[in-house]
Amino acid sequence: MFNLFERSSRKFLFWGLFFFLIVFLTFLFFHPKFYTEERIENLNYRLLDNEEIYRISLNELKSGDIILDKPISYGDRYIYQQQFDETINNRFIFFLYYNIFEFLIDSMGEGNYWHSFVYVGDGRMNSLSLKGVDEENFTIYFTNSYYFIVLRPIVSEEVRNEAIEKTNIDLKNKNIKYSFRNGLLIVFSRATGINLNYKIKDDELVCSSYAASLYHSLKFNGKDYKYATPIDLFDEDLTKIVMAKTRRGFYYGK
Amino acid sequence: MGNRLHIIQIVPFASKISLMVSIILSLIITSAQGTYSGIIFNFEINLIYLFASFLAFIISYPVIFLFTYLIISLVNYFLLNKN
Repeated sequence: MFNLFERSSRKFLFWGLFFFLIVFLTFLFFHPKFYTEERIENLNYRLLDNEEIYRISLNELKSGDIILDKPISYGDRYIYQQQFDETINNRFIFFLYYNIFEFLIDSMGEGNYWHSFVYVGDGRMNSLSLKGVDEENFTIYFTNSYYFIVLRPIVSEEVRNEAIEKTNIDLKNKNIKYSFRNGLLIVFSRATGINLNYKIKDDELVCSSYAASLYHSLKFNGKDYKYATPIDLFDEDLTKIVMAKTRRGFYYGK
Repeated sequence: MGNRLHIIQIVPFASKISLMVSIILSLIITSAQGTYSGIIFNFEINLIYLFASFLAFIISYPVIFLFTYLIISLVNYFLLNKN
């Protein structure tokens, strides 16, 4: 039984306190923040069915648009994942991935978007994922399984075309790496407001900084593109919300 | 077959295992980079790398500890004799 004068009890106390200290630090740095960006809240939403949402989205999307997404639920994300042949499909790995990733994303607050794509036309979206720059189709399964928001960078056609050209070259060359370290540090900076001032190499990015890198002349939220989180792409002066599917309904700019 | 362990013995044992596993996992996660040809590992020694590893550690340690504790407790309950 527990007795402070025994060595085993003191060890139990030490390791027990160590565990609670680590849990405290985790929540201190990464506690969830559940508030939503005002620009998304104030949109005029309509209630449409899934097929209509997909049809309208595909019509309204323009090459160069940035798409941010977050899964509707654990089940939706799991079912969507099954179409790809990846290690993450394993139920146990998926459980860990989903919950840890959700925890980290929630710590950033303001919409909690998980991933950033760039629409390149013909129903295709490019993004930086664990497989480097990768291509995914904009399908009805995507619009069914995810809440998403489409941001149109306020730039000239020339800049937009350059961005599409660059992402197509990156897709072909496969030279950009997805950096877990930079992802963690970017999330930490966003969640705590602490600016670490560290150097990030041009080819070691995460999904949002990759999307921002295609429009590198823009300073999303005043930041260098390498430090951009998904929520930084919501810069009122630099991007326009074209479409949004949230739990309140579907918005498109007409 | 040995004696069943008490929670006072399980917690330090599970903690030490989790500590080692979490440190190794954090260093691996922090150095991991996703590329077209798979995950590659790029170890570096600098303050930022260590800080990122620390962040990975504080996220992974509670999860690994809970799993380790659960496994040891289950083994303890079902496989060890009660004396």
